[in-house]
Amino acid sequence: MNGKAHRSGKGSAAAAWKVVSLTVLALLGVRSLTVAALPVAAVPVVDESAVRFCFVDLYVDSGSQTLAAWQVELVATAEAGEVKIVGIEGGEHPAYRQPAYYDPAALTHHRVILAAFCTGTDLPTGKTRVARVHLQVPADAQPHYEVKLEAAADRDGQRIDVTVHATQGEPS
Amino acid sequence: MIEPGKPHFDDDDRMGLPSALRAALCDLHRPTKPVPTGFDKAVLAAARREWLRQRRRRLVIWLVPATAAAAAIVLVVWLGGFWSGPAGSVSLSPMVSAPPSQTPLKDINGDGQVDILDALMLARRVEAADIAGLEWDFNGDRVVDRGDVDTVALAAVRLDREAVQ
Repeated sequence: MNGKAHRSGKGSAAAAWKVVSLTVLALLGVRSLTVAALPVAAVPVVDESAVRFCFVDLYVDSGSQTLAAWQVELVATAEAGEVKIVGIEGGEHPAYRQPAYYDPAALTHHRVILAAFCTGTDLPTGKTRVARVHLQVPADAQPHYEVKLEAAADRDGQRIDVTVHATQGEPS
Repeated sequence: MIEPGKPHFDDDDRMGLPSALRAALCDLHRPTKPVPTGFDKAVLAAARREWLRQRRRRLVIWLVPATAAAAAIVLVVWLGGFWSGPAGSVSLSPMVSAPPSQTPLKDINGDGQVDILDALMLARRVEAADIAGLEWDFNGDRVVDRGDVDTVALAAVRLDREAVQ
């Protein structure tokens, strides 16, 4: 009798836990369906034929001085349609191969501030590509770029004058 | 041999047992004393107690998962508040921008602005272990390290940095 009651108790516990599991799964399912449904309503659908993707290379030319830190603001605009930043990539020199610091809020916007530094001794001089910014632009529009130097420093941490410019490229 | 209709072999008269032996065998299974009237009540009370115990146990078995389910519902609803951003936007990642600083950011190199040069200077101080005190503990973790350098650098590139400097 005790064994039967014990089995009955275990059966009730198993049934109870099944109810709990199903409840939690159902709630999570409803929640994920709600979350999955929201972007459809909140984010405009991108017509793939109406946009194209390109990238902008950012160059810093520090002349004969070493480049230990840099900070640049990039603004991308197009006369027709909206330009969106969709990704940030590092540069070519080992000192700046890692992606620069940026505000994640800049993604899906047209403006970003990029900055990086290197405390090592292997620093670039002259003209070097410090970052690549990937963009989504209107298919039939030519974007314009404004690049503004905010700060640059040499290996001693002293502020230096450098020139910056952006060059657009198309993915191969 | 036990057969249907003859539940006990003692009642089987085909075995040819002497009547005295059969009577003696039957006497072996007769109660020697009359069953007291309180005995049935005691058995009944014991059965009732056991039934109540089982009932309480079943109640506990259901109560614990039910409490857990209620907690899960509250948790899901509570998390829902974080999943849904304002104005119909959806953000599944908590990292949407530079985290707010625990203490006001400082102009480390004294040039009047907070930019990547401050991060560079702090990084060099951290690498050289040239840090005294918690003056530059910007992320509030009671230690000045690379995390504070990142905090300064992220503050420098914030799109709304004018609001935080």
